[in-house]
Amino acid sequence: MMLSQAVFVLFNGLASGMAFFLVAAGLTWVFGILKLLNLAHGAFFMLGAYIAYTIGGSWPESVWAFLGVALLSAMAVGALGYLTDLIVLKRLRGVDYHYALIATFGLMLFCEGVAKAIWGTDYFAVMPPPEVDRAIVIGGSYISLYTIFVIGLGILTFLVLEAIMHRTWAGKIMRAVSNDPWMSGTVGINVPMVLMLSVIASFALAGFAGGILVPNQALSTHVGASFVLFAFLAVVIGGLGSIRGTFIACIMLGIVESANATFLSQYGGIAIYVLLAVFLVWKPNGLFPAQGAT
Amino acid sequence: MKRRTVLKGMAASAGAALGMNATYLRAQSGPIRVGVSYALTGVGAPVGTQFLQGTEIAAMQVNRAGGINGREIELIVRDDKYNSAESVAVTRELAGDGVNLIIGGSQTVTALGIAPLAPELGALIVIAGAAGMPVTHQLFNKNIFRTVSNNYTQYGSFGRSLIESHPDVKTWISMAPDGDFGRDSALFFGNAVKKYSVAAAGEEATVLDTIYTQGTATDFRTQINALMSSDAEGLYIGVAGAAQISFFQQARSVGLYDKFKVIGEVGNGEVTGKAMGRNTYPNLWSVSYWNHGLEPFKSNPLSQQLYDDYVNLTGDPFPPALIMAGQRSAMGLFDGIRKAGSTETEEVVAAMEGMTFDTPAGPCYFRPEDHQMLCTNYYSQMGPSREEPYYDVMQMAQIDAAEMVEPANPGKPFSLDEIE
Repeated sequence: MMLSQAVFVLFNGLASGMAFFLVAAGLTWVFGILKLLNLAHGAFFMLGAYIAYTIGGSWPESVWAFLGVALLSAMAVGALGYLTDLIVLKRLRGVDYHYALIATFGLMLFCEGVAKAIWGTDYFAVMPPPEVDRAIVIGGSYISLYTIFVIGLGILTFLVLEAIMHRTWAGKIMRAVSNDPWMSGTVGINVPMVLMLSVIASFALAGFAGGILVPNQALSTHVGASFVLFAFLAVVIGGLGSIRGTFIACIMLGIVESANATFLSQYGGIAIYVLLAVFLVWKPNGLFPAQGAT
Repeated sequence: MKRRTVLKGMAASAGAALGMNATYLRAQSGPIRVGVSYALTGVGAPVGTQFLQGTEIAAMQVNRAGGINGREIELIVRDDKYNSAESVAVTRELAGDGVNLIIGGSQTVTALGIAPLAPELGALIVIAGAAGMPVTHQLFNKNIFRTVSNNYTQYGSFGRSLIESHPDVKTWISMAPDGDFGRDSALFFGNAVKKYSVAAAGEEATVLDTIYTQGTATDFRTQINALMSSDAEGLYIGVAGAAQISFFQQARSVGLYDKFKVIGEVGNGEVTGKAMGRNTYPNLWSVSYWNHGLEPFKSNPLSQQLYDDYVNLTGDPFPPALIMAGQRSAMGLFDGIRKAGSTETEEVVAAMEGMTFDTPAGPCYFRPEDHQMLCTNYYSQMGPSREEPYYDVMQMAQIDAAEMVEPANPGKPFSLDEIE
């Protein structure tokens, strides 16, 4: 029984962790480059989920159609990111971060209002694509194939982001702009363009996550709340702006949350906050702190 | 005393008297102002907005018939945001605005805030949707009337209804939110299953330990795994709203639909049906209120009128059952005003005590001792459909609340030990 529970906790934790990472990736990306803590990230995740539902409906025809819809959703939310950058975020560069927090909070409320105006307050449900819409039994535990699909996509997303950031010229340029925008400008890098592309990429990641994770829970204007809370925790534990740190933190959070729900169900969520408290004391700058962090 | 002081005093007295008189005249003429405080935003909004639509239809029906004693109903609507503090604030604001007849508490969380306020504000408050036991027990006061069955009656009747219709299901389990409501509803459901299984199946059914979760949880994989590993064939789900839909989404994928012979749910009803559509569990029973297409509603003219008014108002041919609950709550108050021939709080309270009134779901009665409304309780069986809206309500079961209600015990906490 204990072995079966351990297997379940591990699988379930990994699945939750990768779901958190799909949401957290865009959040940590934009912080790493713009030093912007985007409180509206969950709202754009929610818009991504609604857009995916609108395009693909409740019953995806195949896993490829499902992925295609998620990519379209990513593109749509990326375009919204461009508009948001143009109208709001661009004006906040160089000002105190408090203004950015207030502005993105306002943006979050605005997005929720827009979603209610367009889609109403009814709940919607999207099913997983048929190829992954069943379970397998491992060690006496029922594991949904869809959760394994999410685990795979989470790992793939991490590898792609890591490769872009550390193995391509684009990634090196972004890191250069992140470390020293003024110096980057003097050597000919188009800094405003890099910053704008970073915002678009971050928003597109939120939209992609919305499209991929929408079969996991009821679609409403609150759909982003639970994921985003964990995403913020992961970004803090992993080190603000560190994709690698966020990835590891998401796995830790997922497994701790799963173990909490299995073994300490009467104390829902308490282990997460213990973990956060331990990390804030032990590693206040996170697992992989940004250069210059004190 | 100076003459000027006397004159000032007389002038002030006359002004005050005139002012009071003006207020009195205003209250006895013009439209009857009724405050409405439901959850219109926040996680309780899907329930609160349906209650509001029903209440608006009730006001429309009364106004169309010429109002009450020639006076139209004017609803003053406020959003309690599914928040106890906010519900208190908007109720105080309504009372401050001179509104003494209020319908609110579409959910227990808000009703617990406003119920104790009624005497202080001199208001009559109709608690429309809150089933929590304290409302007609330790929080009872004569100014509140509850127009929905309490948890004990509702979920006891539900357990009885399901075991009587599924005597072959020998083992049951519940999954409920870890809070007063979740624990109570699972307990009352399980107790009734055990009690009535003896008569229904010839032996007492087994009720396994309840699996608890968070009321707003989004991830149910741990609970689903425990349910799948249990011996149960019958399931009661105490989580509502978006959480319940998430549960069904995640449960369906791992084969839970094949494991259980019957599932009863807390009262999401069409909210779950609309969201799940063709993937609705095929033998899903819900705490329900109304379905215009099925008996006994089909042959009730009030039910058909409610359906026609809803469709005319919204264009939606698939009204949710909660519309009736909102309409019925308002009609209870409006009939009380009509019977009292007054809008004064004391007189309407006196008129509503022991009052029987007709609703689209049959006659309802306010028990005078604790102002608990007693009606017939309904439970709907839903399943998937090939046609829009892709779910279907196949039948309604009913149990008379009077058979399942606890003895009135206003002012004292509900105690299961005393009645069982």
